[in-house]
Amino acid sequence: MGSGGGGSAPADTSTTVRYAPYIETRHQDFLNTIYSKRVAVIDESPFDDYTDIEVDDAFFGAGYTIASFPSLYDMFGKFMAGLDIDALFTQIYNDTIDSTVTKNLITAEGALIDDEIEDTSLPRLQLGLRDINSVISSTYATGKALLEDTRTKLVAKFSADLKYRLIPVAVDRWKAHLDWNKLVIGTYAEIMKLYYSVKTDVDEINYAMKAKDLLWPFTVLDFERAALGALQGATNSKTDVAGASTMARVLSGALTGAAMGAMVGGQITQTAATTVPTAAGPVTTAGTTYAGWGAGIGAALGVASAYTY
Amino acid sequence: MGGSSSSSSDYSKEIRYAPYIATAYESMLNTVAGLRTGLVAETPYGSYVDQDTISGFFGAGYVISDFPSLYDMFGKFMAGLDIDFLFTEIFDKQSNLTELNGEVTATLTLENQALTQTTIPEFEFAMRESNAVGSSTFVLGKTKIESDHLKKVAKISAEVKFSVLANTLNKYKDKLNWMKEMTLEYAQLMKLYYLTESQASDVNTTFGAKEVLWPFEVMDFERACLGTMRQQADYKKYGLVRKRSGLSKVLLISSYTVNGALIGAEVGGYVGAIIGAVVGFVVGLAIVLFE
Repeated sequence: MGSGGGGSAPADTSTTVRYAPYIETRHQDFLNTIYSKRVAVIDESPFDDYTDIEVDDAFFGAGYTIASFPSLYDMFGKFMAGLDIDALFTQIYNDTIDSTVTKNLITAEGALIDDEIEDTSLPRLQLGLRDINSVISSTYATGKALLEDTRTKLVAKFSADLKYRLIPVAVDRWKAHLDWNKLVIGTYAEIMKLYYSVKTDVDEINYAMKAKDLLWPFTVLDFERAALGALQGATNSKTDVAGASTMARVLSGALTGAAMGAMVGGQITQTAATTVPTAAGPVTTAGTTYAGWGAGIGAALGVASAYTY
Repeated sequence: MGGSSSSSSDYSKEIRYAPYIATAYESMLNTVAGLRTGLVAETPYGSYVDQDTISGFFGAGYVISDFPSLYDMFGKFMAGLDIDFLFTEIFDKQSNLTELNGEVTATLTLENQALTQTTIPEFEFAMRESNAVGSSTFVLGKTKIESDHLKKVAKISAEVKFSVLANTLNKYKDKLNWMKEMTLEYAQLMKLYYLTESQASDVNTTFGAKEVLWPFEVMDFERACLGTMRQQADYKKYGLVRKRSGLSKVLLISSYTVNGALIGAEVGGYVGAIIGAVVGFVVGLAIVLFE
């Protein structure tokens, strides 16, 4: 340790700070030991083997990015804003009432009655008429015609009944379709939110690891620096790594926040009805659930918490 | 403390302490140095085994990119799903269940038995009593019986088939909900993986660093001993320290409170909501305090 001189002093001056021999001996031994340890570990960064956590491949598939997929606004336009719900109703109504399955059901009903006539009713009738020798009578012809008439009426009735009962099915199906489209958009938004949340946090982790790896020599040398200045009071109060970890806190914040958000999402179910007695008689109203609102508020708070972290 | 000497322009200043201090100081330094020599090679982190999250989540030899991406799953089970086709498929399957046809056939068999064993013999007996077996009325009467029988057949069949309409609709909705739940569950799994993998990587590298730095950790105490007679200067680490803002703390606690109330409400109504909110608040507060 030295200090300069100036003014009219004829020569340079130097000051040597010495310590008592026993201190110097210990300090020298200490420095030698720490030097040998430094040489041994300075190239042994434990962060060297860290492999970046991959996000995009898991979310989009190898070689794809978020830009490879329809934008959220596009999806919203396709599934909600741009949807012609009247045309959808007509399509679903026709698809339900006049569907192939419906026609097959009616045909099957006719076939069932035909089979019953041919296999059971007509033989039974003929057997009875043979006994009384009336098979060739006009009454027999009338009897057969009555059975055919019954068959025609039954098929027509079944067809009408089925179609009548399918009307509320078509309406319900239409409602389910609209609910489904809404769920698709909601889920798409949730997935996107999750992606950005994960991407942000994982990027931070990956870069922190990279910084720790690059700063590793300084992390090691910092101990030696403190050792050199030990007798002057230099300290190394921490023993963690330069580029310190923020992962736990970041993850518990942003990812957990997103977790709450991703939990949100209703289902296509009918809410329970409640009956309220009134002066005009009991009034039944569809039940309302606030669970979705609660979840939404919780999610929004969680996400806001992550963003303001 | 200390002495100094000078020769022309060179100065030497030696720092010494009172004999009783020097004696104790030397003794302490020697003791610490002796202990350091033994401890420096005995890292307690040597037996730590890295947490293997990859095998746990995906199986040995696989990584997350070996599995369908989240967007693929979303496309397959939600956005790209032809729900009209799904309805038709379920409707068709429900209408042609073997059990339904079996039910109709079994009921028909019973009906036919009742007809041949009871209704027709009774009718014929009554016609014989009135001596009308050979009349056209007998023929028409038998026709009427068969016609009624056919109506019963149609009624039974229709009742069975109409009963599947509600089931078809419920099954359709259940399947849609299932598709959505599956997609969200996949997202949850992915989120859990990232959370776990990130934390495991952090823990693994932290233990790795602690092991490598163990000798320095041991010697850091010796350094402090060497400088113990001097006023210590502070050393500040450089790093990427990030702290939660006050607003974020409030929002986090609020989020846990609302979610606690939500869960409580689902379990135990209003009372459950209050209890859940309190629990959520405490959990949120604890997280903020212990971060």
